[in-house]
Amino acid sequence: LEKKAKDAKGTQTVLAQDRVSRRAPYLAALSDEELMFEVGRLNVEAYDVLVDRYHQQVYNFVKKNVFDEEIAHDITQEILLRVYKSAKSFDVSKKFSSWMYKIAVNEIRRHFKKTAQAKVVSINEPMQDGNNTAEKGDFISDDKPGPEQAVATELMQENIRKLIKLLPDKQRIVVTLKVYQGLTFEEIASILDCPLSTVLSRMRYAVKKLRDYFEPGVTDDEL
Amino acid sequence: MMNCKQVADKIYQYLDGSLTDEELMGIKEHLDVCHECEHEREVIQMILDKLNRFTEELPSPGLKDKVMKQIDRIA
Repeated sequence: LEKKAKDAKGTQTVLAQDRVSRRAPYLAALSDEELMFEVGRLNVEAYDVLVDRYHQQVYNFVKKNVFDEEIAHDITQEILLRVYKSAKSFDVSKKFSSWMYKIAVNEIRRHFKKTAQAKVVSINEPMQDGNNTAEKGDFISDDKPGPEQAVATELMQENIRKLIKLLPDKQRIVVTLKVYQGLTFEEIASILDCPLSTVLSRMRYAVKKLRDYFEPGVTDDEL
Repeated sequence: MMNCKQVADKIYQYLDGSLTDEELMGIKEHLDVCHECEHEREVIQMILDKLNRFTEELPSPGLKDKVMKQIDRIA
């Protein structure tokens, strides 16, 4: 099985490299919007360049909202396919990434509706810290020197994942677009089709919720 | 100079870097003299920095090929 998986991975790498080497060189220099113009004319090579640029970013955004690897892969594929299928309706005077995130958010919302996603982690469920419990402030303690650091960092990652999971869907989407995709609040408002004040309010509530777990006033140096 | 309420309303846009020069100046002047608001700014910034340490999650190497295969079928 392991050998088969390795062979499959090898074949995929060769396929991807082959596709890249066959592309028209000028495409790499085009902006996202120029590429979308080409995609609208059914230029698959242009689409290939866009997928190269964005598939990891889209997956990262989806995964941080749905948490399950397999589901995140499926949704990411669906988003990227929709980009291709809807290319003709894309207004090239608009920013491609905002348009794409709009599709992404819609797909994530569709998933939430379909599954009526049960919140696996509740406020009362203990966080993981090796002893299966975590106290406020544990999220700050990932800078311990020495061999413990890797383990502490891993636990920090896991705990942040759980914290983000605690947020209501609407707040989580704002936080992930802001913190992990680096968008401005105005861009987020445009993607979500809501007023800037609504986006800021969701961000404010999310941070308020999270701050209880990051003990205020404690710095890494003090631990 | 802005008051505490005005600063609280604008603090996320301040951290976002999306304020006008005038608003930016108004907040900076306030934060220089108001320890409570400056502490609030530090806490929010700290939370955002901590969240930022959540590393990028990478898809499996085959994801792009799966997408392109589907495109090849419909193109």
